[in-house]
Amino acid sequence: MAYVVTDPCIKCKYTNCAAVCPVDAFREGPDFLVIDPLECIDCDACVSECPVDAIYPDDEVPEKWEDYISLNERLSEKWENRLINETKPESGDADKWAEIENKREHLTENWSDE
Amino acid sequence: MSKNDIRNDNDIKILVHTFYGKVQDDERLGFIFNDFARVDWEKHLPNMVDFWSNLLFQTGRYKGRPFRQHIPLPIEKEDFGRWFLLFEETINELFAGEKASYAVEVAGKIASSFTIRMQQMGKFQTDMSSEK
Repeated sequence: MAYVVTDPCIKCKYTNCAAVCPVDAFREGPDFLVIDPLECIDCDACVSECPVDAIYPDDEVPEKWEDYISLNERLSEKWENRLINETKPESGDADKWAEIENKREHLTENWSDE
Repeated sequence: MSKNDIRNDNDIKILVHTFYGKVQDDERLGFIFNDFARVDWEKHLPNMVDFWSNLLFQTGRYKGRPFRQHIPLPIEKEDFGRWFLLFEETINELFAGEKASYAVEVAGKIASSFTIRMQQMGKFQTDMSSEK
């Protein structure tokens, strides 16, 4: 059990969720956030913070986004040192991306400084 | 006497200290915390005060990895339920109100979340023996 960040977050990354997480379970990618499934305590605090409804408990993830469960697991290891626990300004076109669905092909996994 | 809601750090301290007093007196949980994990209560209690103050008042004080800490412990399926019942009992004895209810709600979520996760990891001995 854990909460999972799904497709709507890609290129939006509003980060309100990360600021309310009581156990610092969020990890940050260049244009996406994930929840470390071994840190999440299922408190539900992040869900209502997300303006694009990207966060679900793992047993309620929409079928089309089920692969995000393993994606959160994998990327939370990859971004292990990219802990985020505060709000950061979103990119200028976040609101535009919020209108778009199924953005997986646009997800960037590697930080440019790595 | 009417009970107050959880209002501040001092209330959280009372909650945490009363709760872990019960935990230590509990046959199962006392064994896990004291005999197995050999918890240093002088360090653990302030840490748990920070945990709950962060959950209830977003103080940002807690820095820890709660689930990972439990993985090596000899916890069985019903233990998180015991933990939750003691927590609920403590809250009901001491407090009433929105924060108090929220604390019980979150404790319940944590207990079921940790139970399911440890079960998925195959940590429960009793589960393994019943599968044989």
